[in-house]
Amino acid sequence: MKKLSSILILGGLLAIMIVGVLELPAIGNPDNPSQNEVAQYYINNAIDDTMSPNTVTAVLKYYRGVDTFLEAGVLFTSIVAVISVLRGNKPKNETNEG
Amino acid sequence: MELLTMILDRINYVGAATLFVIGLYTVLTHPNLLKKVIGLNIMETSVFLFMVSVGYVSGGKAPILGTVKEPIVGAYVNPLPTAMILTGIVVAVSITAYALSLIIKIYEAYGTIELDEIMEARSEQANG
Amino acid sequence: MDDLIVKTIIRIVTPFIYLYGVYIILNASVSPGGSFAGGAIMGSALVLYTIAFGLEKAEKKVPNRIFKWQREVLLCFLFMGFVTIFMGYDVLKLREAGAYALEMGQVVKVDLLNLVNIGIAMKVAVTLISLFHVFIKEDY
Repeated sequence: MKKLSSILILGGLLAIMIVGVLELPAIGNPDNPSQNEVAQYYINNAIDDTMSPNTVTAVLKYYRGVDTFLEAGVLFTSIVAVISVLRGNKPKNETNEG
Repeated sequence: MELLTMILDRINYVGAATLFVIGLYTVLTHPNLLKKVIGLNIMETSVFLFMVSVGYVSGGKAPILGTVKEPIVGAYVNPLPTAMILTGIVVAVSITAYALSLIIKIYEAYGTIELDEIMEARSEQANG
Repeated sequence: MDDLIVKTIIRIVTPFIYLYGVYIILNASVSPGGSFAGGAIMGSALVLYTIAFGLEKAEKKVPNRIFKWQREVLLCFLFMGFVTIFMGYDVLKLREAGAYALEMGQVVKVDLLNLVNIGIAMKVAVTLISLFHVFIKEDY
C-alpha cells in the first residue's frame, strides 16, 4: 500500500517533469538560448586570452579560477568533516595503544 | 507521431527526469540507509546529465581548439556546463563521503542501518 | 586478500597506471582529461594497491605527511593571484602578467600553470586515498 501510493505520486511527478521538459528547445540546435554570447566569447578568445587550447581547462583555471580555488577548499572541508566524525570519540584504550 | 518526434528530440531531458524519479523512489521507499545514499547519487547523476545535455551541439566536437586560429563557433560544444559539472562532481563526492561516515557512526550506535529498526529503538528509548 | 595472481598483476600494472595519470596531468592544457581526472586516476591506483596488499603496506607507500601537501595547493593559487595583483593586473589575469600555459604546438613546459595543475591533481589524489584509508580503518 505504501509502495503503491509512492509509485502513484512519483508517476505523477514524472509526468509533470516530462511535460515541462517538452517545452524546452530541442537538443543540439546551435541556435539554442544556451549557446549564448558567453560560450561564443570563450571559444573565440580562449587561445588569445590564456594560450590554452583546451577550453575547459581555460574556463576552470583562468576565467573561473576562484571557483576552482574554493572547490579545493570543498575537498579539504570534506576530509576534515569525515575525520572529525570518525576519529572524534575514539575509545581511550585504542588511543593509548597507538 | 508529432509527440514521438518531440520526445526523441529531447530524449536526454526525458532520461534525466526518469533518472531523477528513480533516485527519488529509492530514497523514499528503501529503509536501508546505504541504499538511500545510492539513490541520492542517482539523483545527482540525473542533474549532471541534464546540464551537460543543455550545452550539447549536434555534430560538435569537444572544445579543444588545437592550432585553429579562427574557431567556428557552432562547431564546438559549450565549454561552460562541462566546467560547472566538474565542480558538481567534486561536491557530490564530498557529500557521499560525509554521508557514509555518518552511516558508520549510526551503525556503531544502533547496531543496524535499517531505518525502521532505528526508529523502533529510538521510540523504545523514549518511552522507557 | 592473499591471492598470488592478484598481487602479481597489481604489482605489474600499478606503475603504468601512475604513468598514465602523470601523462594526463602534464598534458592537461592541451588534451582531453585535465588535472581532476589525472588525480582521480592516481588515487585509484593507490586504492587498488590498498585492496591487494592491505592497509599496513599501503600506509608505508602513502605516508601521512603527504596529507600536509594539501595546504600547498591553496598556497599555489593564492600565490598566483597575488603575483598578478602585485604586478598591477586583475586577479588571475595571467597572460597580461606574463605567465603562459603552453605556446601553441609546444611540448610540456613547467611553469606556474602546470604547477597549479599538479597541485590540484595532488589534492584530488590525496583526498581519495585518505578518505579510503579513513573508511577502512573503521573495521568491525
